[in-house]
Amino acid sequence: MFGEYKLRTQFIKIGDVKIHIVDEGGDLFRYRRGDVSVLLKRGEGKFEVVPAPAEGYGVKILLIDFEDRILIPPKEEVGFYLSAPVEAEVRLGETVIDRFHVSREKYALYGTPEVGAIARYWTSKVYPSEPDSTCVLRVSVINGTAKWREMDHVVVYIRDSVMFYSGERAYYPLVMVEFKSDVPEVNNTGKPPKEGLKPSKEPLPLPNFLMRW
Amino acid sequence: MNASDVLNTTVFSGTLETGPFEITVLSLVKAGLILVAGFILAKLIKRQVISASRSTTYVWIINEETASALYNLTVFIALIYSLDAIGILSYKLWSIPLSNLLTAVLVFYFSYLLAKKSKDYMLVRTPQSKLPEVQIKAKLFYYTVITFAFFLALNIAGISGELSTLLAAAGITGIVLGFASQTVVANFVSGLFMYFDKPLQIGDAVRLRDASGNILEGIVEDMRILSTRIRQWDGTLVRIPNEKLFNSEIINLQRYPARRTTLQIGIAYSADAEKAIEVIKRVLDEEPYVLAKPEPRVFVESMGDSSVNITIWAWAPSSLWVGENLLRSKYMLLQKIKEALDREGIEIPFPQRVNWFANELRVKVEDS
Repeated sequence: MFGEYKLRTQFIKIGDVKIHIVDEGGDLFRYRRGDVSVLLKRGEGKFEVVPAPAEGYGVKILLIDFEDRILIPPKEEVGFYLSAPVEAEVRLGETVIDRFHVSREKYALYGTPEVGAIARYWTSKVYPSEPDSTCVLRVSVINGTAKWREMDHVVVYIRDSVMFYSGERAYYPLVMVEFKSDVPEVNNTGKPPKEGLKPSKEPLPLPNFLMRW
Repeated sequence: MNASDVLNTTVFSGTLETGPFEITVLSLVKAGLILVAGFILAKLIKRQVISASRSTTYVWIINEETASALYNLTVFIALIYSLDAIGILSYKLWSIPLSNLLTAVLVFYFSYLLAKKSKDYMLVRTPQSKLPEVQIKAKLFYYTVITFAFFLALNIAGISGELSTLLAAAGITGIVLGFASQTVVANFVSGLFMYFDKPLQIGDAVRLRDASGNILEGIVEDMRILSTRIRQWDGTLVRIPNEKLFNSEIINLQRYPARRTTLQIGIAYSADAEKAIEVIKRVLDEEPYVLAKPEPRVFVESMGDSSVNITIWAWAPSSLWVGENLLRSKYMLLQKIKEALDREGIEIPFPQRVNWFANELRVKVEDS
């Protein structure tokens, strides 16, 4: 799965995607994934396979529809988990040699055809504890209003987001959703959803997102 | 004859409108020295700016172009001082003092540099997303400053009065010229209208249909004062006069984030239409660029001559449903639908016709 690998003949599986590292003789190794093939010079360096946000062809936001709606009482908080789409980035030092989809690629229009935006699309159950999926998104919802609030989807700003990973799976940063009014504000905190996870890169501050629809 | 006498020797003498005029050896030497000093200073400035341009991050201002401009400016100023040293700045060309003419040239040149650098600065400081609009504003600003500078320079040179008289005198010629240049004016005005109307911007994918029904499609590369340039999908550049563009039907293919596409598939009358719709829906669901929301619609639209026509309404990201991107979106989708229908044994029929003959048809076979 995600992590660091030595440059030697081996087979790596990321989700359903297979990566082959083949010794070509001499000083060369071949990195191969499907149609992607790169020659690498033999050396002491390691290469990394790290999770990357599911930006697909270049979208900025991720829309996850919940299979069940969730209702939050006034002035209360709730935390839950969702499964999420993820991509993988293969890096040698700072150089990205490959990037691919680990999860199903699908998009949706978030908002209206006039002023909406194209989002990466996913549907998930709402899990009370961490699900056994390739990528997990932990959501913490604060209802600061005096009304019951309903959520059936969440939209997260993911462009250039840091990702976290363990040996088993990838994680998006902790997402905070706050109801201050009728329009909830979503904050991709850039912080790990739990301890002991490795970051894919230095976290950058990301803009908060108002979920108008 | 001592050195002082040599320096004070007159090499040229004459009479100007301002009085008697003479050029001495001393004034010539002074002028020469000023010119040489000017050239040396200009070279030093140019070298310094070029050297600074290699290490600075402000390349938009500190570059070779600026170095050449400063070089020209320094030489020009040195030339004015050297002419002043000779004492011929009061000399008149076409009854305009030479000093006024040179000042006018200097003012125009300075204004041109200022306008050009300001335009570059506006473009460099603008984020990519706002670039198309700022490009047009920068051009408008540039041409406005140049026009003002032109008239200011004329005024300094003292030509404006003469120019007005000339323009008044040439009234009839102006009308004639006006008729002749009406296309240019129409293009200019159309360009202005389009700037405010904003039917398209630089970077937009557009489809244009002119009055004759000719269709042109591509990316807007540049919008100029008189014309707009469009790069067609085959890589050719088309220049369209703004007037023609303004009168065309403009379809902006990327104004909104998503577009609905309509595809038609014909299946045989003997095939199960419900099953065909299910198969097509499955393909649409698996296809990444067919948006999950708004949900695609698949329905029987008409009974054709040879087939039952199924229509697909599918929404797709606008940026992926144009030009070469159609290869990985629309055409890939059509191929997958064809393959899925083939796998399920759903026939896509050829156009066919059943002919009935009123009388029995007799066929005669001849031995060869």
